[in-house]
Amino acid sequence: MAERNGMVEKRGAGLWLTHLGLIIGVLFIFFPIWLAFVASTVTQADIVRPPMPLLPGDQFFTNYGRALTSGVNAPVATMLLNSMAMALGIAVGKIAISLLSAFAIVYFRFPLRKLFFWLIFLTLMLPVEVRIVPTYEVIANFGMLNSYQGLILPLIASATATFLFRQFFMTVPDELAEAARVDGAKPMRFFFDILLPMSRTNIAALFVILFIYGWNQYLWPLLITTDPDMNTIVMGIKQMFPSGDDTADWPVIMATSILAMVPPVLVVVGMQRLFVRGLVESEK
Amino acid sequence: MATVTLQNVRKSFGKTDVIHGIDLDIADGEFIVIVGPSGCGKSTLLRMVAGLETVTSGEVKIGGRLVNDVEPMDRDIAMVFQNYALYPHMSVFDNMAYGLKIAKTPRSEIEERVASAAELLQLEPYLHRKPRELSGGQRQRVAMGRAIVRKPAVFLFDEPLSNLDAKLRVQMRLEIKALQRKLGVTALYVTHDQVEAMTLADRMVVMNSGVADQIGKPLEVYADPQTAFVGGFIGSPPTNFLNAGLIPGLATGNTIGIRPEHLTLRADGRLQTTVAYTEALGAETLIHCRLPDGNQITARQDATQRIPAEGESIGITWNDGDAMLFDAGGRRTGQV
Ligand SMILES: Nc1ncnc2c1ncn2[C@@H]1O[C@H](COP(=O)(O)OP(=O)(O)OP(=O)(O)O)[C@@H](O)[C@H]1O
Ligand SMILES: [Mg+2]
Repeated sequence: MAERNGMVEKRGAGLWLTHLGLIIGVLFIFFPIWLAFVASTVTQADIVRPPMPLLPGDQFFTNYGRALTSGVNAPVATMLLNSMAMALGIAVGKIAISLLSAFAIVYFRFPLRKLFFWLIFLTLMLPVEVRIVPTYEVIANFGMLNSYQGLILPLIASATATFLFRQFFMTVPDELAEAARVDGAKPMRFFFDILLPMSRTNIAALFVILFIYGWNQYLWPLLITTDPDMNTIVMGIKQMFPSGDDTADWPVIMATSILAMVPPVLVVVGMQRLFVRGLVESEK
Repeated sequence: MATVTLQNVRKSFGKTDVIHGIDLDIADGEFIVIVGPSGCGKSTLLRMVAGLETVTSGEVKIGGRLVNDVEPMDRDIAMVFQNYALYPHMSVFDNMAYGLKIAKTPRSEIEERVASAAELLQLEPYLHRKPRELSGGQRQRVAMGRAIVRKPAVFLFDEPLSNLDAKLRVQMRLEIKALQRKLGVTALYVTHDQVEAMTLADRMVVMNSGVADQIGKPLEVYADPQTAFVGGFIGSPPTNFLNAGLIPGLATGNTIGIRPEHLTLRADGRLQTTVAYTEALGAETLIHCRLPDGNQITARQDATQRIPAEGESIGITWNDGDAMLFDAGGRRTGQV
């Protein structure tokens, strides 16, 4: 304990220097975001006329209102909704599937179990970008272009989460499963009553990671959504950039960027609390 | 409450045979302790009774019913695990109630049964705590409570006290015994600690690499071990084994076993020895002597007797009736 205190508690100049370093680092990272925010609160004229404003203007409500309701190609509200559906679908679907497959691999003995494990593992080497053409073919044949299923399903199949849960399940003592068996719990009951609550910290962590992964998808939605109403926000921003000689509506684009950042930030902040509680409460 | 019968029970894991045919008849309400060194198959045997391990051949009957292919929950048993195996995310109450909930017991009855088990085990103040907020002894009690609330016919314990400190172990040992008496439930208890076995058992099964070397009342087993292994395993300090060739009139190759308390130090003993070192334990003293052939022999004497100095040459003797004769295979062949 004493040792740890010694490590954390620096005093005097050292303390101030560390803090100064950290503050500069934070400002450096934050500055572009600040500029984007400022740009989203001023008029187009203010932006194109140098010098660039460094303090927020008075156009906050007009710019954000315009972005949300009309946007450039599609209203940002629609795109946010689409992104939300996609990110949630991917996060929840992936977690559900990997929990179940990890459960099967760890707790059941079935023929070709090893093979299945390695097959799942193999998909780690095949991210969407690599299999994008055949996947597009499959989704198109299923008639899932321009649909939530089309956006979500191909991204759900992956091994990372399965692998993580498998590792976690293997650390759960066998006696727990045996005690549940003596108590009369059938396998799925054991899964829902005992394994699932014990995995909640892992689930929370994965949810954050997968939500952001889903939110930030660019290439796949670009490929399969042709209808502007199905656009997701991340690809939507890119499509707002003018082609040719059109002038860009920078305040609306910046407002859209800021809006696109809000949900992931909320998820991180919200889950962080659950996360920390999970860590503090965690067993052993 | 039920009888448990094992008939020529065997177990192999793949090609390795772990249990080599065990027969055991347990009466209703009897407390049976299975004792033996690590790896001899005690847990495996218990887990076969629990239904957590399949039986390779032979029959397991509980209450006269063949249960070889019956799921653990339908065997009317409850098990206490060495590491307690409490559900970490559930409160003490939920841990105890879980089995009843699955059995769809009415809520009021669950509460009643958990409350009475908690009272019996002095767990009432902790019902809303999580297992991690309990001490080792309290967790052990919760594990017992979980077994009690199911009102099983047979209790199965797999080294339930081995994670506790020595003092608590003695206390819990007494509590387990009292509890089993009070509830009148048949109990099968696995331990590697021979003191636990001696104090708890109505009858004990001494196991030696997959074979039940001897089954009997603790004092009978102690007084009359059927194999050299049992003689050496039960009793502390262990029985002294001497090459029978040292004693005139006995065939070499055989062994005699004499318990430390049956040895007396005397100037004119049957064997001449040198005192190697002594351990004064307060009420008694252990005297470790070296025999002419280099082997050690331990005598136990009352603290009131003179303690010989280390290096002193002294004779050692015993009564004929106390010497147990074993053949080359370790089988008991009689008294000397
Ligand atoms: N699942 C298994 N697969 C293969 N061998 C096993 C398995 N379980 C146990 N064994 C072997 O069976 C033997 C008996 O094991 P068991 O757990 O019954 O010993 P034990 O008497 O309970 O020992 P301890 O006092 O250390 O708990 C050991 O040699 C062990 O290696
Ligand atoms: Mg064991």
